[in-house]
Amino acid sequence: MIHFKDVSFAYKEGKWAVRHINFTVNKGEFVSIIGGNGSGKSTIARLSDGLLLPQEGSVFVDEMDSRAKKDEFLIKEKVGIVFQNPDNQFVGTTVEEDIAFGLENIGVERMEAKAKIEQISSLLGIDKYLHGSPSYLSGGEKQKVAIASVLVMQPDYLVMDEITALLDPVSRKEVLNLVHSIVENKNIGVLYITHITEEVIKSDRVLVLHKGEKIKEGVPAVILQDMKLLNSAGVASLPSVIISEELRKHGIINASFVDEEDLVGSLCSN
Amino acid sequence: MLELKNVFVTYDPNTIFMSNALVDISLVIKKNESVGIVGRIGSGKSTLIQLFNGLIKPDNGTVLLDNDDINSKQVDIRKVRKKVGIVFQYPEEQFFAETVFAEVAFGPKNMGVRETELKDAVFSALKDMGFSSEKIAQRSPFSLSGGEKRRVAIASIIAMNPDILVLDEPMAGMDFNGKEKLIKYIKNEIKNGRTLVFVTHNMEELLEIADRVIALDDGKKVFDGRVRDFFSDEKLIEKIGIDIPSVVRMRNKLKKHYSDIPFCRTPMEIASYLKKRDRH
Repeated sequence: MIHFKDVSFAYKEGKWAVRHINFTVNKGEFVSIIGGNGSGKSTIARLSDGLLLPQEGSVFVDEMDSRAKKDEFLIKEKVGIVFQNPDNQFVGTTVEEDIAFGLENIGVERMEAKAKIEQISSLLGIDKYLHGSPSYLSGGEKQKVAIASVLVMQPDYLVMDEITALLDPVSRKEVLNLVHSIVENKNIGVLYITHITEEVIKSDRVLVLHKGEKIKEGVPAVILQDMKLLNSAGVASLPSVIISEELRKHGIINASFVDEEDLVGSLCSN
Repeated sequence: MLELKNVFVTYDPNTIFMSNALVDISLVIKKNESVGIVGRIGSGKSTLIQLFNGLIKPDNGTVLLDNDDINSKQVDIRKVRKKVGIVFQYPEEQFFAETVFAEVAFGPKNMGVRETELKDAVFSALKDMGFSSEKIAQRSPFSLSGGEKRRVAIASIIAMNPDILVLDEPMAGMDFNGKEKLIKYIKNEIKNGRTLVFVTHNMEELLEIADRVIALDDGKKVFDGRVRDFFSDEKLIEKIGIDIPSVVRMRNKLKKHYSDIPFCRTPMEIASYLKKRDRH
């Protein structure tokens, strides 16, 4: 479990980037954080594996405190992070070298590493690129390579910070679906950070972040219906919810729908 | 009016790196139109808009602004650049001035706007982008929020009062509140008679702002027409890697049951239609 316990962090003294944050991510769970620019989302990503250390409160990863020097590497092994821009994450000249980098660093034997890389890359559908250079790949493929380099280390938790922000809409969906299928199959806990409302629909839980504070936590069906809450957090509401709410006000339907199929279904049934 | 006639642009000609950035592009942008340019990364969108004010010259073909070839020696390119104002991606990264006023005044000053008129030009541009208080002018542009910075950057081009405003991914990196505001002010510009051309990846944005869509694929123009026709061409949409927006998807599904539902650009338009229908 990743456990944020009353965590506060400031880059500059007296100016809190995140304040009194509490939440947990269990293995096998998909937890999303949604918020606008400057809400503190990326700070939480960096706190979750000890890249940043809290000034107040504590971050625990499987009960290890991120401030305990002795557990530093163990925490980084358990928590893998993928960031927004895959170009900043490449180290190798071929895709294979790139994915192998972490394994080599922890001294995994060559043949074993090769097998692991092949397995992961076929899972992500990038096996055909292994011997090419990452720089010739499209944005979506690059991000898959970045995810593969993290997954190959067999982390227990994956933290993803706006990983689809630079992708076109089609690759965006593809990458998100891939992440969901990985979690289902591998019992990994995911902390998925985004400002795009559509991307949190399939999460187990959603945290809404605003100006460094958690203003709400709940299941997507509840959070996404609260247009006021989302607006105040600088996040767009789903078109299906905007339409439902407007029609509900006028007594045309009596429920709000997050899923657009459900809304259309309800409107076409009467 | 801006017109491209059979324009070709080739990068690194006569080398092994030679590639065709744009192939035989012809198009017309009329006064007071709002045109969205879409296509994958590398499809030629940015190259295309740089032709509009002579930052890139075509290898073949002509670019005409109000019937003059902008690349001919007789045409003063500075006048072209005053008429066609381009705001590039993440324009705020190029801020340099100490105050918002100096930042916005830089362009018109260089274009020879006199000191007496300069102040009016700057404040009117800031007002266009939603800054009603004149206090903002004395602040450092670096102290503003992301959304405010973007609007100041666009104001610095509007201050030159261009006939055609060209925006490259105007909403990139902005959150919901920033986008909402910017969409409102951009729509106002169109209402006030400014011609708008913008490049975008965001289909909701395209749907809300554009009258017309030009789609590029691999340097070729593959679509030029109304927004509604664009979104009904499913084969094309898939080919250029575009996701149909939720509003269009819902409207199309509703059409099977509500055969008279019009084309809708926003969720509220769908809601309005359903409310009106309910009343009957």
